[in-house]
Amino acid sequence: MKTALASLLVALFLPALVACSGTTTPVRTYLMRAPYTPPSGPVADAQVGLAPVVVAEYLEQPGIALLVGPNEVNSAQHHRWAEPVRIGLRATLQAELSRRLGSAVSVDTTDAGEWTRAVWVHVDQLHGTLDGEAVLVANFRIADGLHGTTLARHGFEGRAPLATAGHPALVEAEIALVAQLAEQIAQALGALP
Amino acid sequence: MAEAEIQERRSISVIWLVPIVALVLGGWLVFTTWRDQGPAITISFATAEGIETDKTKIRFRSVVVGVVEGVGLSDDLSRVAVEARIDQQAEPLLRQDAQFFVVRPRVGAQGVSGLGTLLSGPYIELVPGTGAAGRRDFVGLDELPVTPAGTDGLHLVLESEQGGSVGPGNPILYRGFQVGRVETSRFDVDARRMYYDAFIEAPYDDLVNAHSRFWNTSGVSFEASADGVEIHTGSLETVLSGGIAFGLPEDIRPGPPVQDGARFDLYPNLAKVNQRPYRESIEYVLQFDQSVRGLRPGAPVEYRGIRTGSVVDILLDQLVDEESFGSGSSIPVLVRIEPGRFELGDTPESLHVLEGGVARAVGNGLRATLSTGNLLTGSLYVALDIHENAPPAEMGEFAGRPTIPTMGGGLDGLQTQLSMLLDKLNDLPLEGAVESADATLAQLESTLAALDEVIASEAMKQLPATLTKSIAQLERTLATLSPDSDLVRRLSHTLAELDKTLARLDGLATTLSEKPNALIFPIRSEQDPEPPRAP
Repeated sequence: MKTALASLLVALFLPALVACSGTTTPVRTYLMRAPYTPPSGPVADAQVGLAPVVVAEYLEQPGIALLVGPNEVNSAQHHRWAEPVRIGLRATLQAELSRRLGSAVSVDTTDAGEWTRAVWVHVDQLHGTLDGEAVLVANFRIADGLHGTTLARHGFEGRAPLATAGHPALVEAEIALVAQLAEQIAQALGALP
Repeated sequence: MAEAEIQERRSISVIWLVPIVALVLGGWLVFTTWRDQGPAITISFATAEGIETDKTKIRFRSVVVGVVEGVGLSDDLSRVAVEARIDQQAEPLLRQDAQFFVVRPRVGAQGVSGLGTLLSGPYIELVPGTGAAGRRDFVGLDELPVTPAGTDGLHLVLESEQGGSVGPGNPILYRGFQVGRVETSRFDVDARRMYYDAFIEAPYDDLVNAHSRFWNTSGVSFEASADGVEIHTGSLETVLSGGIAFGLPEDIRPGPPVQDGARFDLYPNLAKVNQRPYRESIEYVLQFDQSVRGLRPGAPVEYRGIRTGSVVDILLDQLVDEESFGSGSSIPVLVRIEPGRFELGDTPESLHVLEGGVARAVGNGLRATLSTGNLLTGSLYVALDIHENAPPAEMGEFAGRPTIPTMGGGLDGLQTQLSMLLDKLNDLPLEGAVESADATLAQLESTLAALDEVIASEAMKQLPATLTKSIAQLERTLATLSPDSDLVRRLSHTLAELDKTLARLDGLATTLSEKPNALIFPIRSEQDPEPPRAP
């Protein structure tokens, strides 16, 4: 009797043990940031503010996007953003703009009353391609306040080659594209009276 | 053998050198004297009073530049010819428009001058001018020139029907400031008009334009009209000795610049300028069936308060000539309407425009009335206006001039209007209105009483305290919902966590839909497609 019961348990749990014994691929997370150290000590109120970045709906998920076919996007299961990509985009743009303008760019909307220029950014595409490129398509608008009158409106489309294969290189290329977008925004701000 | 005859050689005596040297020196002196002496000129004067040979000097800016060498009569014996020698240095002063006049003691309205010649005797003053040099014969001036030759400015000719207080040397004023003088005056017998040559000095000549008007400012003018009492005076000099002023009439814009020698009318006074500041006008006759006492020539003709012309005259002679004289006929008043006042332009062409406009306006009810311009003096003026309720009337003709229909005005008009007002008051349904107002007031009183009761109720008394409490609560509630409040921060964090959980559940649901036994038998993890390296 005991032998029969033991045989039944082995028959039931053996497949589960076999299934659990398979190897799993680890999930890797990536952070989108630019190297920038804000000046220490008290700083003056920011004149330029960056409004919350709006991204396309397909970017509102953690997987890093890769265009694998005509109009087909793959969201990676094992390569994910460590935070919503719109947060990373805004932080990277803030750092790059602050470095280029030489003064802190604010993202705190409670100080928006002090802003003389507000930058609104909408990212339409941010993904890699099977051609070994990263793609960033965006447009931005500069207003004379967070909810002020529009002073300028520009579009941006950039492509950057991947130095090596893999998602880490794709993230690096996407950060480089965001830096190019920040450069164009800084030039547009400088062109305003 | 013949002998040679030896003759003693004769030589010129050295003594002959003396007359030769004297001759050369004499010739040199004659030459230098001839070379250094200036030109001889001839000046013609009406009289040689005070002018003496070798004594009377010719001066320029008080510097002696010549001397009179001879005084005689002219060939026709009508004038005096004065021969004079001008210094060589002053020869360039003898220009084509140079002027000479004798400076003697003078006492006149313009002041006292030449007193210095009482002891030294008269001298001849030279005014060089600006023309070409080289002239030798001159006609001297008997009077001091008002304007020195060559002075920059504008020469004008002023015409007047009356002579009188204006004469050479009188000032010309612009807004009380002297900008020129009258140079000469003359009377044209044929035209029976006075002509004045006037000179406006630069830079004030720019003040004169085609629309400028000149008037006599001599003395003091006093005038009482429909506009009130006005006193006009010029400067003290013009009050005492006469003068001319110029400017733009009221409401007239400056015209184009004028050329040298332009002609202007000289008005007797400023009032005459303002009475007829325009050249072009149309005359109409207004026939009033009321007293015209207080209506004077020059009284304004206005259209709704805007001056359009002036009263010219009351045609008394036409009134007498009328057959109906003595039967209460109307009083014909001649008025002048000037198109320039309508910005139509002070041109003959604008007269036709004005003529047509008046004819159309009469058809629309344009009527002339007499209105009181000054209650103190009782002066009247003519008022033109559109009266829509006026009885129909047409333009007619009187003494060869078109007429504009009239209506009773002034006190008569007031009486008519008062009568119309009383008629309208009589027609008003006052009794019904009063009854209606009474009912409305009664209803209002009852409403106010009800409102008083509501306000006096206990609930209304507690309303302020309740409102204060509610507002305080609302403020506290709103404070917890501010962007930097703890509640909002925690809510944001919770929403973010919820977002993540939902995303994971979405992935789980997708997996389960693809492989329902994935909970027990986990699916084999597929590798993500790897982005390749750029070629």
